[in-house]
Amino acid sequence: MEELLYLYGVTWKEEAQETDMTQWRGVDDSHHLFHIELGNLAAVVSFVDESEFGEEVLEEKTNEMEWLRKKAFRHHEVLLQLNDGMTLIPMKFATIFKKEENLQHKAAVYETEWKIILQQLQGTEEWNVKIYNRSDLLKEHTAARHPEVMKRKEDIAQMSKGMQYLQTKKLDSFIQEIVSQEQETYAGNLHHRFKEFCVDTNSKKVWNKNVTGKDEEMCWNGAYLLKKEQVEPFLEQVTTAQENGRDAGWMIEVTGPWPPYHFSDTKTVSGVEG
Amino acid sequence: MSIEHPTQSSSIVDVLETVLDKGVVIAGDIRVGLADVELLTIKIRLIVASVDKAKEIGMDWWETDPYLNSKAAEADTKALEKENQQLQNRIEQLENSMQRMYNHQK
Repeated sequence: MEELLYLYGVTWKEEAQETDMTQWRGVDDSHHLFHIELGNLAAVVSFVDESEFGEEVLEEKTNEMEWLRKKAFRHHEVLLQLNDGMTLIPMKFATIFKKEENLQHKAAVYETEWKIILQQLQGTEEWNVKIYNRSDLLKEHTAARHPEVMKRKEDIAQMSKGMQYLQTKKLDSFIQEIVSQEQETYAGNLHHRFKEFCVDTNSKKVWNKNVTGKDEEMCWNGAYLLKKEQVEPFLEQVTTAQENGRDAGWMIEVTGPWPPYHFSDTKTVSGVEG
Repeated sequence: MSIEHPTQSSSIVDVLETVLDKGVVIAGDIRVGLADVELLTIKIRLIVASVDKAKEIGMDWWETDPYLNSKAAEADTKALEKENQQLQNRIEQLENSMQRMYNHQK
């Protein structure tokens, strides 16, 4: 049976040499990991069978959701394990070579950029923050606290029944407007506060409820690259924000450390985004 | 503090949106055209949700019926393997302690 090389990530040669990864299994849960030296760098790989990862089979397999889910999670687990002990440039799911020679050739093209990225990633961690909101709670919260809303409510109480009906409807749409504005600015403000702690940030896609499966609306989804010593203060900031926002329907979800998926692309080598 | 570990099943979205969509893209020798990540995530999340739901209402009997499900059979084999391993460990322990007693008597 033909064997292919599945590439998980690239690291410094020394770090790969220091890590005993021979006991760890790859994406197929069977072949073990090993590294291939590429000058000062090293590629972490494992063999995979062509009968499962060959081009035609893979095309079919990636349409089988159960297979894809399993393999995507396995890929991620391997990267988590690697990321725990080394500076790592994580590859996308299913980066596969037929021969070591081809991998060596490709690596030569990217070598300079990978070195720059690895230097930037040294001593950092990637964290993800998602901000969700329950608009019904925020609405309630706004109705009870906003000075303009409170004043209008008082005024309405003095009015005749017919007037009250009309003005209450008007007030309702006014509150709705404030809520939408608030969702936008609140998430934006938090992001800027979190950004203070970061080396780099990246905005991710804000998913709709069909994707997240949550009742709350996603308002912000961001990746944050932090120096290790900044992780604690950053998480404290997030916790404070979680506590402060709860009553108004805010839910802040923080996960990490992640392999630096969002800060390893050659496009993000220079400059801070977000 | 609610720090979720990224491999938790609750974060299917997290894992898929990063693994399938992000990470360094270099063209390998095998070309794979993945469908839209949004669509894939929805599909996979629904499958997982329906399996969970089935478990919740007790519709997962087929998962544990060894004649109907090879996965369950696998689990059975695993259980046997585990038992086997435990027995072997015990034998080893017994042998070791016998060896120690023997050495002691010498």
